[in-house]
Amino acid sequence: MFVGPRMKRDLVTVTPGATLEAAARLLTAHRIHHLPVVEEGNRLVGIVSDTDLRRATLDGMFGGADSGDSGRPLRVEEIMTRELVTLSPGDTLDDAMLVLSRQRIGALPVVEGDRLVGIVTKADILTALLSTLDIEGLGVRIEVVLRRDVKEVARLAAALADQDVEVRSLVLALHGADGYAAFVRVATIDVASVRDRLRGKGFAVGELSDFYEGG
Amino acid sequence: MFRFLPFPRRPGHRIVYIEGISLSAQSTGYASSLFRHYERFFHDLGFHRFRLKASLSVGKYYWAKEGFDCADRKQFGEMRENLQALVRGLHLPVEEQEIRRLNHASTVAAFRRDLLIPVYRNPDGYYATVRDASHTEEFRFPLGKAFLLCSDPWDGYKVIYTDTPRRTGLVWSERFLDHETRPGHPESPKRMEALLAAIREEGLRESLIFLEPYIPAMESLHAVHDPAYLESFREAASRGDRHFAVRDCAISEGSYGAALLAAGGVMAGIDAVFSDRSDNVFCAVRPPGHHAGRSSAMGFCFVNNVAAGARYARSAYGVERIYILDWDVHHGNGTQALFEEDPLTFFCSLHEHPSFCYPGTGRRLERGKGPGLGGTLNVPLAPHAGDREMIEAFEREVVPSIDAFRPELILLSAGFDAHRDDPIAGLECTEDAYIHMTRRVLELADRHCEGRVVSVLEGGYRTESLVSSAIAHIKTLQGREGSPCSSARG
Repeated sequence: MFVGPRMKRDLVTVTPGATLEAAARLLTAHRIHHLPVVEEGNRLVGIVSDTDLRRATLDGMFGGADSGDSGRPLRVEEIMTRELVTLSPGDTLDDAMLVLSRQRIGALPVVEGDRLVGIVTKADILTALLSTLDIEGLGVRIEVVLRRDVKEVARLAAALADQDVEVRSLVLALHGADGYAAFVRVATIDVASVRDRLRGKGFAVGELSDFYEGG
Repeated sequence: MFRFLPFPRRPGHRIVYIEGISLSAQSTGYASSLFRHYERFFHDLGFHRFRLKASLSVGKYYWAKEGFDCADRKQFGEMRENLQALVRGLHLPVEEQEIRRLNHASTVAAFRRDLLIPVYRNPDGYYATVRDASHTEEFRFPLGKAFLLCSDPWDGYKVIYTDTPRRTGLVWSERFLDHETRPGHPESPKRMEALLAAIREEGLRESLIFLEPYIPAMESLHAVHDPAYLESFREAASRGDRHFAVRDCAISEGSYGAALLAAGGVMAGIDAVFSDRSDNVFCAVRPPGHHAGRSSAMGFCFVNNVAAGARYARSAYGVERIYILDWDVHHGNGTQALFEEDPLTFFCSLHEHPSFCYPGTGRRLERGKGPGLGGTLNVPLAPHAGDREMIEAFEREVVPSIDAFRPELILLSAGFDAHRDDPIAGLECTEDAYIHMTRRVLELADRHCEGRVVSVLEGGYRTESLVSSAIAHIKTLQGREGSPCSSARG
C-alpha cells in the first residue's frame, strides 16, 4: 500500500500571489479544504487551508494581528503554511496515516523533489480503509475470537472453506492478552448458518453484547 | 351516466324477478341493487358469504361486469382461446400476451376498449360476430364487450363476501413450488406449502379472491432486468445448474419459470386493484425478489417482483406515484438500486442495521441519487430491536413520508423474517408489529389511493413464524384483525 496509487492527482492549486478571496472561492467551488500553493513548474511552496483563511479573516475583523496597511487585500503567501510535511509517492499509507493522526493535520502534499504530484487527505485514507475492509460491499461481518496461535487462524480459514462461503475480507487484530479477533466479511444471506457451523466446530463467534463495552 | 338506485326495501313496493330481466332492461341497475341488498341482508342474518350461481345465456357482458366469472377454469381457458381465435380471424392488433393475462370474466369485459369491432344483432336481441340471414343489424362495440355479447352461454358464479370489510385478493400458484432449492436451504418450497395449508385451515380460502398469476411479457421484465441476465438465468436453470450467480441462489429446472411467474403474480395483483376486483392483494409468491438488481441474483432472489410490478403499474395503468415499503429484515438493495434515480417511485426500507446484517447496505445516508435524491428512505434498526422500536420508527419516519409523497399505489415488500423466532437475522418483532404496520398502511392507502395496496411476500424462513405473521397480515388486509389504532403504542 503505497501513497502513489492512492493519492489524488488532479489537483486544485493556487499561486502565492492570489487573493484570499480567490482562494476561498476555489475551496467552495471544489468542496475541498486544502490548496497547495505552487509557483511555476508546479514547485510547491506552501499549503493553505480553510482554517488558515478563517483565521486570517477573523484577525482582519477583530484586529488580532497587524495586517499591514488596511484596505489592501491579503494574498495567499502572507498566510500560507511554509513548513510543510510532505510525502513522496514511494511512502506507504501507514506513513500517511501516522502523520495525519499524530500531527493532527488534514492533508499531505505528495512531492517528487520539490515538484507537487499529488495530495493525500484524511478522506482518501478513509476511502482506502473502506475498500480494504469492503464495508460498502455486499455481505455481513462475523467476529470470531481465537487463541493467539496462527494455527487457529488456519483452522478458521479451513472451516470457512468447508462451507463454500464467499469471504470478502478478513481482518485479524490482537484481542486481549493472548487472543486474536478475526473480522470476517462473508457474502451470504444465510449468515446464521455460517455462525452456527463455526460454533459447532468450537469457535467463539462474537455476540453483539461482546462489543457494547469498551471502545 | 346511469346512477344505481338503492334497492327499494319497503315491503310490497316493487318486486324484481332476476330471471325476468330482459336484454332491454339490463342497465336499469336492479340486479346490482339486489346484490347490495342481499349483501346487507345476509350479513345481518350472520352469514359470512353467499354464492350466486347462474347459467348465463343472456346478458353475459353485463354479468361479467357485475363480477360473475366462469364456474370452472377449463371453461375460462376456452373463453380465452375463443377470444384468441376471434382476434386472429379479424387480424386485430392484439398481442397474445395481452390475452394470456386475462384471468377473470370482468377483465375480458373491460378488454381493449380502444378497439371497436363490428357485431350483428338479430331481431331477438342476440349478437354474432358474423353477419348472416338473421343477424343483420350492425353495431360497433369494444373488443371485450363484443366478444362477450357474442359468446356461447356459460356457467357463472359470483361470491359475495359479507364478513370482511375489504376484499382481499390472494395470488398463488402451485408452480411456485417448482423452484426447488438444495436440502437445508432456508428458502424452501415448504414455506409456501405451510402458508397455503394455514390459509386453508384458517378458513381464509373462502373469503379471499383467488388471482391467477401469469407469465409476463418479456418486454415488461426488461424494464427491470437486463435481457442477457434473464437469458443466462434461463440457461443455468435448463442446464440443470444447482445455483445461479452465487451459492445462496440455489436453483432447479423449474426456477426460471417460477421466478417469472412470481413477477407476473405481482402484475396480476396490480391488475386486480386497478380493475376493482379486489381492494388489496397479498401475493404469496416465491422465489423472493427484493435483492435482485438489473443484472444480479443474490440473497435467494432472481427477478425483482416488486420492481417489475411497479414498472408494470406505470406502463399498464399510467400510475405515476408509487410508494414501495420494504419491511423484510434485510435491506431491499435490489429495489433501491432500480429506483434510486426515479423521483416518482419512493423506496422505503425498514431493516436490521447493515453493520450487522446482510446485505450490508441501507444506511441512512443512502437517500437516492440525481433527480431521485430524497426519494429513498432507509431506516436501519439495531440488533435485538422489537415491536416497540419497529413501530416507533414506522410512525416517526415511514408514515410522514407516505403522507408527504401522496402515492397512487402502495406496494409492500412483505418479508416476515424480522420475527423474533426467525433465525436468519437479529430483530425480535412479533405478529403485532406486522398487524400494526399493515393497518396503518391501509389507512394511508385509503387517504391517498383508494386503498390500493399490493403486498408481495419476500423473506421469512422459520415456517411457524412466517405462517402466523403472514396470516395476521392477510387478515389485517381484509380488515378483520385488531382494534382501531392510529398511533404508536408507548
